[in-house]
Parts: sequence; C-alpha cells; structure tokens
Amino acid sequence: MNLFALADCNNFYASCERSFNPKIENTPVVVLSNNDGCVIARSNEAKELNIEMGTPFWKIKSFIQKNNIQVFSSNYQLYGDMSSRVMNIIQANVADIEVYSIDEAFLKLYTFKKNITMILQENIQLREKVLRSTGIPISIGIGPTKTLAKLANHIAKKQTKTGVCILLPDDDILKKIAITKVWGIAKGYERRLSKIGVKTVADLIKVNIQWMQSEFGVVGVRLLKELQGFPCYDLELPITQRKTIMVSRSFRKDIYTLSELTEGISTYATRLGEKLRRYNQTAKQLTVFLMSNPFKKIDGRKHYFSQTIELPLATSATNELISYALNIIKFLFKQGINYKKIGILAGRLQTSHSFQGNLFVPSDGRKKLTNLMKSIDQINSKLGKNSVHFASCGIEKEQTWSRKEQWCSPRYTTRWNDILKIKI
Amino acid sequence: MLHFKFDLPCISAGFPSPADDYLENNLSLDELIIKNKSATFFVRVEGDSMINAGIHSDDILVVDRSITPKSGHIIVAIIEGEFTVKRLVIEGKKYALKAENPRYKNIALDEHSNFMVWGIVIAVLHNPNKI
Repeated sequence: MNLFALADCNNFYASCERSFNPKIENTPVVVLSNNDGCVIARSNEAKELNIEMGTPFWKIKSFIQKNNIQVFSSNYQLYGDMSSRVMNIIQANVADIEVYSIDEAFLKLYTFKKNITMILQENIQLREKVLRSTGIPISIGIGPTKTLAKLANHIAKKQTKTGVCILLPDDDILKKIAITKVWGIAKGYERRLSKIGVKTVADLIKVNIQWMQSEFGVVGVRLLKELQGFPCYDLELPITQRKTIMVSRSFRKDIYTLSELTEGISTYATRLGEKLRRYNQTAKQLTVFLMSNPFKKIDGRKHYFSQTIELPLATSATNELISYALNIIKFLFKQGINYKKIGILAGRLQTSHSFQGNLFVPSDGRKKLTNLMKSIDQINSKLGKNSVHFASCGIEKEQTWSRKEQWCSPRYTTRWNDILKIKI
Repeated sequence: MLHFKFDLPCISAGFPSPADDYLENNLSLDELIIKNKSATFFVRVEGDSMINAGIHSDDILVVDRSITPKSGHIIVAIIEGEFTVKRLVIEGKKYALKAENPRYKNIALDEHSNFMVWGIVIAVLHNPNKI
C-alpha cells in the first residue's frame, strides 16, 4: 500500500511576512487582498481574536488598532517566491508531487520496506528541513487516500506537536471528528447525513454504500470509499491547459465615468495580453464585466453587467484585445452607477502556433503584430512594467485602478533594492 | 527572356573556429556560490562591527539557511526580535556572538536569551571601488 500526504503551509502569507520580520513573531498578523480590500490570511493569534476570513478591512479598522494587529497588503512577489522554494524542497525529497495551490501540495509516499514509524520520522525531517531552509512552518497529513490525508492534515495542525499525522480509517480519533471537517462535505450533505444519525467521521465510514449511492450519487460513493481507505483519486500531475485567463480588480474608489473605465479596462487588457503571451496562448473569446459597489448601493441595487464576444481571429495582441474590450465597455456602460470592480476574461484558448488564417487575413500577415508584441514584452521586462504601453491605459500617476498596497512589505527575494537590510 | 534570382543562405567563408568543439557554458557566480538555491537569501548590511572579518558597510551577504551552524561560523542571527550578523562561538555549554571589531562587545547567550540562528553566511559581496 502506498500512502498519500498533504503538505500545507501554516498561515502561509503571514508566515512569509514573519520569515523576514522577527518582531511580529508572536503578535497577531493579517494580510489583506488586492487593493487592501479584505482579510485573506491570518496568523493563529489573529484567528484567536475571531477575525474571520474575508472580513472587509474597513469593518475591523478600529479593532485592529485597538488590538495592535499587524496589517500587511498582499505581497504576491514574495509569496510566489517562497512558495516555489517550499515546493522545490518537498520535490527534492519525494518522488511524486502535485502542487495543489500556492501553499499546498499532495505527495505520494512509496512505502516499500518501510513501517509507519519510519514514514512518520521521514516526514518530520522533511517538515524540519522546510522550516529551517525557508522559515515557513508546514503541516503534513498522511493517509491511504487523498481525503484521509487532507483530514490528517487538519489533525496535524490542531493536535500534534510534530506537525505530522498519519491517519488510518480505523483510528479512534475519527469518533471525535465532525463530518464537516471532511473534504467535500457541504452544508447540504451534513443536513441529510445528520438525519440518519451520522455526526462523526467514524459514523460516516460505516454508512451503507448503496444508501450513499442513492442519496449523493457517484460523488458520495467516492467520498465514502476514500474515507474507508480505498483511493479513488490519484495525484493530478502537471496542470492541464487552462481554459480561461482572467484579470480583474477592484478600484480604490468608486468610478462613475466612461473615460476612467476606458483606462481601467485598457490596463487589464494589457495584463491579459501579457499573460496570454507568456503561456503561448491566444483567445478566441472575450468577456468584459462591470460591477457596482456592493457596500454602497446608490439606487438600492447591486449592478452587474457582462458581455461575451467571439473574436474573428484568436489573438494575444494587446492592441486588438484593447479595441475589442473598449467596444464592449461602451456597450455596457450606464451613467449614474458607482462602479467598483471590472474584469476581462479570455476564453476558448488556443496555443499560439496553431494559428489559422482565413480568407481576409492570411496567416503570415500577423507576423508583424507578433514581433511588435515580442518587442514590447522585452522592453517592459528590461525597463519595468508599463515602460511602453498603449495610450488608452492613461498616465500612471492618475490611475485609480492601480493597486493600493499601503502596507506592502519589501519584495525581499525578487528585487535587489528590497533585500533585507541588517544593522550590524 | 528569363530572369533567375538566387536566394543564397548566408554562409561565412573561411576556416571554421577550432574552438567550436570545445564550447562550454559561461561561468556563473550563482553556480560557484549557491549550493542550495531554495534556502539561499541575500541581505545587505550596514555598520562596521564585522570589519575584521571582511564585512563592510553596504556589502551584500549570501546566506544559506539550510546549513547547521557550527562554532566559528559567521551567522545571521535574531536576538530579541532584531537581526544581526556576528561570529558564533561555542565553548562547552557557553554560547556567544562575537563581533569582529574591538570597539564592539561580544554578546553572551544563555537559556534566557531570545536567540535564533537565521542562516549561515556563505559569501560576502564587496565592491572595493564603490563603482
């Protein structure tokens, strides 16, 4: 039998900040989303103060000051770099790894000629290696299936000193764990299960499989089998090609005019083009959406407008994306609404070398455009983002849609001017 | 009358470079200095407490966090929530952080000290001409 493990960084964003800032080691820390909108990460101390995930920042501003909570804007350059360090260390020690998110990875542990104690010991060592090398604490949950590994990770975080936990389906601890802690158990499931007296994971494991099939279908059956220790899900190795790419952000303040929206959507279309080109993809479909401020309803309503168009030719060229997006936004725009968020979404992605021309555009006619985009990308990567950009994006200083990062820590690991400074 | 136009590929005439068969990669400072990329960080120092160890103000230190500290290592440490760079000296059960400048005092450590080794200095990048 081979085992699955889930390695999960504890309070990842807060831990990244702490790795370079020992002063905040035992104080509550929160990290805010783009534009300092709401809380997206909390240290244990902040969790103990009952700060919920997703709380809008303005709602807890005074509470934060009163309790001396450290606030950070999200520093994705730092989190991305620290994440790849953690994943690389894990990868160097384990044969198969599925990076599941920025702070989680599933591992497959080959157990040939090893007993449980040895596996536990190896994973404690792996955890220590990651902690020492990066300063990031991780928890490792191990079990015969992904679902049990995820549950084991939950136990490892809450109840072990080592940060590592192995969980088998007959473990007594499952009698004390509520079914809501199981991966994939939603509210609806919980209600229907509690009706037949199923409250703990140990209860759930004993449920009749035919009943699961009739109540929840194949998803329920898989869940039950996974909990009983029969793997239904394997590691998903390299991420399959993405189907869509989106760029969206909230404005710092509400926006009322078409000219400001024009600059905003042009900027996002530029980002979208850069992303598409980085992954060698082109879009055949484009969606633009607009949202009003949900916390400040002018006419008592929330507004959401969106429009999707099919493009005549798949493209990743910024100028084309901008001109399509501007057409859509002119069509969607309505006067008198306080817009808070806009976004642009590329769909029906194709790989860019599979370009097909048509009667009006021969396939080699776009060579010039491709070269132009390549040059723009090269200049911007050398001289910094937005060194060259399209005029419809407006001028940097006046932009309302550029990110607000009032409390952003330095890019300690990705910019020479930002590296840690030490007085000696 | 027929006109022929020839498109010839660019061929450099002359003798081929005798070095072609011996091409190697360029020298890389990263490759020379960094043994464990995931655990290596850069920091900039300010101050002269380590001057006799060849660490000047404004130098960049390459720090490997994965190495186990030994007596004599120059380390990046955290004491009472502050970063510092000093030489770690272990004598029996006594730990101390030693400055490399007679004008600075050594810091003795005991079990009450809030102390942690952050990483080991594996290289000092110094620009002697301040260019």
